[in-house]
Amino acid sequence: MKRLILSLALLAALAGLGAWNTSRIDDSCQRTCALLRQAQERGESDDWTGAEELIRAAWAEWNQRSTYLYTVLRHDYTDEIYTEFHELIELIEWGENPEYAAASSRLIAQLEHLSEAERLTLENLL
Amino acid sequence: MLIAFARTFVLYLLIIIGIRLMGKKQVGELEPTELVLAMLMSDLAAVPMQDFGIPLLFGVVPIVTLLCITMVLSVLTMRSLRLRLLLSGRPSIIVERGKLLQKELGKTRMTPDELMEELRLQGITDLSTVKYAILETSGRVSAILYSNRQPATPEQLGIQLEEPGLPLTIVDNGQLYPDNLRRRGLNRAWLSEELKRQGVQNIKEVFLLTVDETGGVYFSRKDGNA
Repeated sequence: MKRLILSLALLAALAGLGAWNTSRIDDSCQRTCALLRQAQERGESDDWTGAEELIRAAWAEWNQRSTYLYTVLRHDYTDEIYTEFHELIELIEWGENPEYAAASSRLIAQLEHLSEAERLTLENLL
Repeated sequence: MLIAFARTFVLYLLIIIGIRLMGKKQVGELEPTELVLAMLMSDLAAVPMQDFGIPLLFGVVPIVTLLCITMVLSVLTMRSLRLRLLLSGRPSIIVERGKLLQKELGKTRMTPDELMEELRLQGITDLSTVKYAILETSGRVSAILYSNRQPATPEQLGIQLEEPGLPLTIVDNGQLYPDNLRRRGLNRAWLSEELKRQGVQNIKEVFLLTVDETGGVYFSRKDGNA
């Protein structure tokens, strides 16, 4: 009986941790995307300094959970996001505005896709 | 390389713990759920061992989940006959009172050749000597011979034999097992005497020394110490 209870408790804990992990990743992605969108808006109104600050803030937001994210996500996903962030920062520093817009949209889409991929949906299950 | 080492270490330990939790059965005697677990676990462990781009958790979480599910099913099948029948099936009688039940054999998809092979492995070559043959849920065949075809026992022959004892290992490759020595009601003084009797000076020269309940001793000296 003890083993049964322990096993069921462990299963429940794993399910709970999984759900918590999904929520955490979703939260990270949403916060980062929000900052990136704000940066895009600043860029559209030619406030490139403001845009750069927001992109760096988005990077800091993402990077502060980097150890956790590397522990729970495939490394090629996290590596790609790391690369894209640095590309974005370089583009905005060099004033490459058209390329910046495309790169920013790409990064936002990737973060949204990452968050979606962690959700328990029929699509993901199948 | 260090990562490969660390991951292999962690995942291997996890598998060992898992196999240990499954109990003392040999692989050939595993129930279907346990066999599936054993097969899956090795694959699940192998992937993060080789692909460093996959988090270790992608191996650990499925393995732990499988172990828990197997444990739950194992406890529930112990308590519920219905569930046990559902998951493990029931043994099939394929030879009954010497008659080969062809329908049952067909249901189990076992060919006569396979049956003969299983019987041969048990030292049975003549099917007419078999009263019952049962295909167990583990896939093994148990055969019960007719009484007059079974080897005679000492009791049937009226021969009185000494009861064998259970040998306990006292010394294994130069290492003393003091608990076993105590269990046999012996002490180090007895051990010294026995070693002297066997012609060795030191316990390190002993490869194997066992003592059974009747006081029977088995002694084997280490090679190169003769």
